[in-house]
Amino acid sequence: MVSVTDTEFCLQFSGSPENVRFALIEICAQLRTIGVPDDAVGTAELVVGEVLNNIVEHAMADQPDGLIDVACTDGRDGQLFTIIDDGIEMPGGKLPAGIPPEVDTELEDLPEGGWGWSLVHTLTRDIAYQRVEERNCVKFLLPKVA
Amino acid sequence: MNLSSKPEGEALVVTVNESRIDASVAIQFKDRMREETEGGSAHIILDLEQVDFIDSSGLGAIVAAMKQLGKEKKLDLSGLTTNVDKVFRLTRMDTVFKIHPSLEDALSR
Repeated sequence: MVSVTDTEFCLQFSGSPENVRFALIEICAQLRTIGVPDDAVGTAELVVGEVLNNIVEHAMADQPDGLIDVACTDGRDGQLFTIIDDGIEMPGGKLPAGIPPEVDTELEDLPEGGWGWSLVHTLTRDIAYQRVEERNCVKFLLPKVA
Repeated sequence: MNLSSKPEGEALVVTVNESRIDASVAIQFKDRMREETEGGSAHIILDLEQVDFIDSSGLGAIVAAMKQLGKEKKLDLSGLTTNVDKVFRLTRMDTVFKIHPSLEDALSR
């Protein structure tokens, strides 16, 4: 389900890895339609993908029918994203700090994950998390590159 | 998950014939890598030229593929597109893998 105007769009879907993939493809298409440059579209796909994967794998792990809403508004400073889901609250009621895993290790100790929130924090600005009416709400700005 | 492989000299080139390595295919990717690289060459080049999106799960699957090869085999990467290259740089995994600009470049070394 998608609704669109010149500068904003939103979509809603249930939480599965396949739906995340389709949602990201749709979000990228919408971003290109509103004139966001390719490089910024790539960054948006990565950041939104990490937030959505986290919802599917953690917040909504036990509720595959739970819904996710993604809204995007294009503004002077970049694209403001709001992502709301039916999942359980973030641990401790706040966003993970996103400390990147150590990569300077022996082969067998190399990390196989744990980069998601680090990438999100690195690539966004003004990120905020709130629990609103039994849902999780994450907002962030993908800043325009000067 | 469409992967194909063929020997090129001393090396085995594994090509990812997909545009995405994301959370929905990460486990399949790791399993397919095991199948394609069993036995055979000790030098594997994973060609990512067709891949235009990778997330942290996909990156984790490539790391897992390298780990399951063990210390006797070597996994290099080639043909990283802009978005894929960005993920490797931001996570510093570009310091872990040998990354060639293209498959031709990887094979000429």
